Amino acid sequence: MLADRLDELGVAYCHVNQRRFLQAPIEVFVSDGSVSGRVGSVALADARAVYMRLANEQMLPEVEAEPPDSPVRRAAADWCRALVAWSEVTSARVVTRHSAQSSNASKPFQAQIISQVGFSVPPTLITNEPELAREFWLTHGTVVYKSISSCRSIVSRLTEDDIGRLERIRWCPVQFQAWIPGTDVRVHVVGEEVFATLIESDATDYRYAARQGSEPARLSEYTLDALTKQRCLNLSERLSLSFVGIDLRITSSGEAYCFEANPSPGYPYYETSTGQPISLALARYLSSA
Amino acid sequence: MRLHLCHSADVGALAVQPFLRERLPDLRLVTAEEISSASKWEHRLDSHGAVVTRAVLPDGSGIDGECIDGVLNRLMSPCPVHVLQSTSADREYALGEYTAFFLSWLNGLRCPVIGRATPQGLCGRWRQPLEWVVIAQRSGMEARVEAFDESWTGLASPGAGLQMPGVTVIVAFGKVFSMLDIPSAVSHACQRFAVAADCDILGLEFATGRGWGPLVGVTPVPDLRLGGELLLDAIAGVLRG
Repeated sequence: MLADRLDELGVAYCHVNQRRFLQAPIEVFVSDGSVSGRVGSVALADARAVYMRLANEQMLPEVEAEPPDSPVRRAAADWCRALVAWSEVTSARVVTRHSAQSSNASKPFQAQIISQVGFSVPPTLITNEPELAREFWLTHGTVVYKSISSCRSIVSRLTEDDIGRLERIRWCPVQFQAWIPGTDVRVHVVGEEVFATLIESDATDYRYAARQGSEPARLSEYTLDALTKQRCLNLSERLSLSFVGIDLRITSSGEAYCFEANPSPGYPYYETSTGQPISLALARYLSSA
Repeated sequence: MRLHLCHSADVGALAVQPFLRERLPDLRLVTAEEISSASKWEHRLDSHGAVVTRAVLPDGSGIDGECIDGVLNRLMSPCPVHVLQSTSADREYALGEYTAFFLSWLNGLRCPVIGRATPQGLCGRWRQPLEWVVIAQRSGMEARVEAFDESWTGLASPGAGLQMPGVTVIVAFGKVFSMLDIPSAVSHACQRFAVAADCDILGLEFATGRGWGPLVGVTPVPDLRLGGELLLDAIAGVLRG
C-alpha cells in the first residue's frame, strides 16, 4: 500500500527485504561519530527516511525449520540486530525506531505515560492474589483480562467460570481492567495528520469478533473533538512515535479513555474499510524528510 | 524504608550494602529472587494513572510503594524461581509478563530511583555496541565496535577482586568516580558520554595499555566498590531526596 503511494508521488525508494538476509548482507561502520555502511547494494548514508516493519527473524520461512543455533539462524539474528542498531543512530527519519516502539512492551507502563497527556485510562489491577482479583471484579462489575506485555492476547471478559480458576494466577500476575462502556475509535497519527476511525462491534475485542461469536466490525470515518485530537498528537510526540495507532473508547459523556498506543499499526484494515488516506500521509511524511 | 534491589550474585552491590547502611540505616536489600517470588502483588492504576503498589515478600514482610523513600535499582531481569522450572513456552511468556509488570511497578515509584527502569532495561538502558561507540566517539572518546566487549556486564564474579581486566570508571549524577587518577580530558569525555546516554549511573570500561585505551564496555550495573567512598556518599545523598 505504501509502495503504491510512493509510486504515485514519484518518490524514489528501495525495498530491503528482511527475508533476503543472506543475499543482502549488512555492514555498518562508525568513524568520528559518523555512521555509514551498506545493506546489499544500498548505501545507508543515502537514506533520508526509513520505514521499518521487521518480523521476528526466528519465524521467517528461511529460518523456521533450521536447528537451534544454526549459522542461518545466527545470520538472520545478526542482520536484524545490525539494522536495528543502525536505525538508532542514523540521522535519517526512521518510522519507527525500536527504542521508541518498546514502550508498548508493558501496557501498564505505557498507560502511565498515556495518562500524563490527559487521557483517562481504565482502572487496572495487576495481581497474583486471587482474592484481590475477585474483589476487583465485584467492585467494577464487568472486568476484562489481558496480557501485561506486548504478547498478543485476546481481551476477554472475566466470567463466573474464570472465578473458579483464579488460583492459577498465583503462578504469574495477570492484568485485570474495568470494562469501559463506550464507542471504539482507532486514531492513526502520521506526523501532524490525524485520522480517526469509528468501530462498531458488539464483540469484547473487535479484532476477534468472529472468534467471539459476533458479526464483523463496521468501520467509518470519525471526527474527534479538538481536545482529544490534540491529546493524540501530544501522545505521539511524548512516545516519539511519529506514526502510531491509538486505541480510544469514548463514553456516552464524551470522556476519552485510551487503551494503548500501537507503535507499528496495521493500518491497511482501517484504510481499505473507510478510504482514509493513511498510507498517502505516511508516504508524504517519509518523502518530506 | 529505602530499597536496594539487586541479584543474589551481584557481588558489586552486595559488598557495598553494609557501607550504604552506615549512611542510610533504613536501606533494605531485596534480591531479584525475593521480589520475584513475592505474593499478594497489588499494582493498581486508577483512571488518572495514579499508581499504588503493594506486595508481601517471602519472609512475610510487606512492601508498600507509598512507604518507599528511595530505591537503588540494579534489577536486570525478574527471577521467579517457580517460573524458571516450568515448560519453555510457559516460561518465556511468564518471564515476559514479569518483566513488563516490573517495568510498570518501578516506573510508578515517586521516590528517588537510581537506575530508572526503561523498556530497554529494568535498571537502565542497554544499547548495542554500535550505539555505545557512536555516543563515545561523539563524546570525544576512542572506541571501535570490533573492540567492544558485548558480553561484559560489569558484574563481578564471586570472589573477584577489584582488579578488572580493563579500567572501570563510574559516572553518576554528573560526576566521575574512580579510585584511579583520571586525566581531565577523559573525565570530561565520560561526563559528556553520560549525558548523551541519559543513564543515572554507568560503568565505563577502558582497555589498558599505554595511557587510556579505547572504551570497550558499558554497563548500567557497575561494581560499586570501584567508585570508593565518594560514590557511596553520592548514592546516599540522592536516596535521601
